[in-house]
Amino acid sequence: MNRPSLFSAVIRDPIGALDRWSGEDLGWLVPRLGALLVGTSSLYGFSVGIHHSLEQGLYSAVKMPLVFFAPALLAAPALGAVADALGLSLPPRRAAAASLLAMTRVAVVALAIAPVAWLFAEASRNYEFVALSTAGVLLVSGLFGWGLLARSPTGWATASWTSRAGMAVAAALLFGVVTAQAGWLLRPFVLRPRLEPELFQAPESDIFTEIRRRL
Amino acid sequence: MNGVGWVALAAGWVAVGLAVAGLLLRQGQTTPAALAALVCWPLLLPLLGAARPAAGPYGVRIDEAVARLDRALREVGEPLPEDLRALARALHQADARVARYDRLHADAADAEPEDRARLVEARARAAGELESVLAEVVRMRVQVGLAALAEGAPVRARLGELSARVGGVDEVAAIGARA
Repeated sequence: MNRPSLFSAVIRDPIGALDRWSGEDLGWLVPRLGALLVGTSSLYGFSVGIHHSLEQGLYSAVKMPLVFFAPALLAAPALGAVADALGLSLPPRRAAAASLLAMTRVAVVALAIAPVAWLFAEASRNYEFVALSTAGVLLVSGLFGWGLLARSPTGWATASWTSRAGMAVAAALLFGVVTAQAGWLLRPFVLRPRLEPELFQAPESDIFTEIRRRL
Repeated sequence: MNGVGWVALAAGWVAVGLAVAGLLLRQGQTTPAALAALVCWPLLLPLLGAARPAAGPYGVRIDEAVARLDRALREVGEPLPEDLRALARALHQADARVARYDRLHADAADAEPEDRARLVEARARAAGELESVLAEVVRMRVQVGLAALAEGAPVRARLGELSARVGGVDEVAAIGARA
């Protein structure tokens, strides 16, 4: 695998990319994946916000990369620590590379699915439907990142099923929680039609309190 | 947290990023990596304290060969990180000697032809020994992959032999220089 094939490696062979670039090449990998993550998540953010107005589309394009970067930046050390606790080997460089690769993969897949969600959103012009389809796109694309994170430790294939299951659950919880809370703090992305576009809303509570309140 | 708090947090984040970027540049990392560290410094922290990229002509091949053997050993459930680190260190030291011969040769344009020829021969012997050990590492990886050498103890013994062998590159080269 050569370096120009980074984009296809993110989609087709993320574990191979991890094996190849998580050592001394981390300094080569991070700026390139970072640029790819910013580009794809920004376009995805634009596609989410544009159903309301151009202004909201631009705001979402600015904020969405932060939502995708937050888990990679904040949860990578915890991912390595959890792997160690489960008896798996995930050195710091590999954990860092896996986190960024996973979130880039999520952003690329989300952007790929976005036109489908956009088509339905444009047809319905319904806030609840757009919010639901955005959550659905993130959930589906999140599976692609989760699969990579769960398999990121070296020797994963030969590890016990309890370690593998523990890693899968821990990766879902860690990255799911950070992504949800970052999205909540940086809202709105999908804006009710009657509201004026705005860059940020004042943080009132956390995502879980809000879900509980609405339920 | 209010608006001022968020701004202070962002400023602190970038300040740490600046410090990490400076350290990465001093360590020999590229400018894109240092720029990425301004925001992504938590991801690049593991690079701090890492050895500089190998300067010798075999640096990349050594890193790749050792990384592949490491991967093969982990796949068969026999990781030997310390032995591999020792082998990598010995190989890089031998590589540095080859690089030193190259520098000496480049600086010896006005030397006697016999001295230059001895230098070339010493370099060729050192490089030959290094090549031969690298080929042995590749052979070991194949044997590990075929499960012909999956036990930890024999692999460790072979790695020890190779480390000792590559550690003697100076002597091998000196034989050529004396001849």
